Amino acid sequence: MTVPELPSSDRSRQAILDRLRSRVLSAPPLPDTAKGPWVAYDDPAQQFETVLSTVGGSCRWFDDRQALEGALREEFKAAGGPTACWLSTGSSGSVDLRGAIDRASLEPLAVVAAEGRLAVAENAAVWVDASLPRLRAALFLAQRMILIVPRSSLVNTMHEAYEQLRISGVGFGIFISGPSKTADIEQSLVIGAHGVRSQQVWLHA
Amino acid sequence: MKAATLDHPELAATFTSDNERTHWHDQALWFVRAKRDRAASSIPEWEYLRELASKVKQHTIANLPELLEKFEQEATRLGARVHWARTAEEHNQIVLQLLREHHATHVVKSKSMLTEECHLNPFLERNGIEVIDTDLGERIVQLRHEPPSHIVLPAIHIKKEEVGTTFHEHLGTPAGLADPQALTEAARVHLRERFLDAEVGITGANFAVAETGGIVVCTNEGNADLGAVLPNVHIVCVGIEKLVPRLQDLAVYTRLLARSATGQPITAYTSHFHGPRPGGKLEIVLVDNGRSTLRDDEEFRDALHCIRCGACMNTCPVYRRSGGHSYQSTVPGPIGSVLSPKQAPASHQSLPFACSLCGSCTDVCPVKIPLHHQLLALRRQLADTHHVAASKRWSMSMCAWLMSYPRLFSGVGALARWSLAHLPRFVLYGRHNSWGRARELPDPPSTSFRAWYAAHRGHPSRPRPERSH
Repeated sequence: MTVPELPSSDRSRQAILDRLRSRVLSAPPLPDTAKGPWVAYDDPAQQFETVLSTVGGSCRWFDDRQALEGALREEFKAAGGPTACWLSTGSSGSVDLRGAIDRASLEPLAVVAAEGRLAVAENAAVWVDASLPRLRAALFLAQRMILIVPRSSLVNTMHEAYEQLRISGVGFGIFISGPSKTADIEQSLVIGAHGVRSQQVWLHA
Repeated sequence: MKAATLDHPELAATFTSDNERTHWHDQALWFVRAKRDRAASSIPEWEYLRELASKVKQHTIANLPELLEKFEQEATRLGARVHWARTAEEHNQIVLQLLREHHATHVVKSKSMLTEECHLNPFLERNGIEVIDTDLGERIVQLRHEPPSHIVLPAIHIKKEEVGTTFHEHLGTPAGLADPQALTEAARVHLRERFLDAEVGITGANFAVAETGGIVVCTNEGNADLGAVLPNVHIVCVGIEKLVPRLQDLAVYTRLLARSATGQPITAYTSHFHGPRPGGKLEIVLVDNGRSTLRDDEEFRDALHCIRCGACMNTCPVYRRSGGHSYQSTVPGPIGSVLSPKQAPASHQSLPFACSLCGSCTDVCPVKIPLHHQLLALRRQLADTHHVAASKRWSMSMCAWLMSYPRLFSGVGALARWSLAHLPRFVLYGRHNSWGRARELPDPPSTSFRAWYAAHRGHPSRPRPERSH
């Protein structure tokens, strides 16, 4: 099959930019969107837990990282299917998350666990850096998800979250708030649309 | 002037002829509106956020050429390819060429109002490409060969029993199955197969970040992510107005978007794509398709701020009772009634009149588009360019003529008062009276305002009658 040339995208580019430049507009200066009168919660952890339960997820608290990792091993044992885990302290589970995406091993995943970098109190969102392709696929193909976040990384609002993120290179990052869901049939909430059917956030001291 | 297009009132009449369904539709959307109100009031700085959102967009639209170049530069640096399309046709051609370049015949697509606007699906299908919409609501309307009736809730007009029938026909679910949980599960199984087969995933974008060259997509189902991660090639179709200058600006919009749309604190997934994944390709198509023209128009420029949350539809008393399809426009409701007539006045002239000017849309809009002011201004523009229906034009010029002859006007007033009081119902409520189809005409006053004014205020020399309270 011969591949025809792309429509002259360069010409279109120039035409669009010329057209836009033919009209000079004045506008207010770009306001500061990082600092502002943002809500600050008395107990961000409590707020996070409450919101997470309203979006269909749930919280577990651990006194220390060790206790958490012990609980994760138990969870994986009882998972009833393949598991995968990607943590800064090392990976575990029956499926390795390094290498290229292979659907056959990722599709049947029962549980995926990953480390979150930030947890946002106002909306129960957890930021996960999932640049690793297999981790990224696993986050959406697995049946259940556990996100692990240190309690110290709780922030109040999205403003604080983006302040800390500072993306500058290639990668994939995502805020996850609760399990996958839809209400496309008569506004009836159904958990587990395409992605995970249950989501937990495990916070540790 | 206009040929085959149907007017909003005619299509709305078809929709409202089913009283029970109209009420059901109205309630379903009001439910979403109520959730939005609760979510908005949970944020003390809500109004401040709206103000910021509006200012950032104003700045963006004014500085669009520089920001687009910055975005292109950064996205290219990260390894994406950036394409530019002036029109819907160019956009479709670019997507098709990209698919051919990547030897793709199976495509999964997540919700994108831009590709709806460009009618990408029928174009690709004509060219031998299978396109599967993966958002549940979009898949439902795709299987039923209907357009979406709402930009966030594409299948809001369809009842679960009807979804059951559609799925029975296409996905082989048991006849009579109407449980949303079971139907969603069936779609999940059906669509997973499609995700695993597809060679290319097409998504829209909620935001494009100039500073970082990143694309942000917000979904609840996770379909955009599956579509973007499983196939090797990810094509993003994005309107040039979707830019934000900086990463930090996303905080403002992600706080507003889902709360305004569905009353959620944020969508389940807010994905940030910076460059292609290792071993994959990221193709970004920037589309103008009339946006630069709208930018030239001072009165309507702010419509480019729209973040497609749908709040204006959910709150609109006309939309809720007439259904999205009555607008015959990719984006229905108040914002669609601005965007579509601006782009194609002849075929969408009736839309700015499908509005009671109640102003609720303006009040809920998270980016402060003065929607009802724009709708009013559009009516004037359409009248000036002779795009309004003949009946409206005639009655308006009749009125203007009548009002320029005070004596005649007062004579007609007297006649009207007499007629209201004495003519039989079948005459008063005849075919000519479209206003009275669902409403009662007012009781006629005994005298005209002019007579009342002359009696009470007209002659300063005459003492005013004592007020009795």
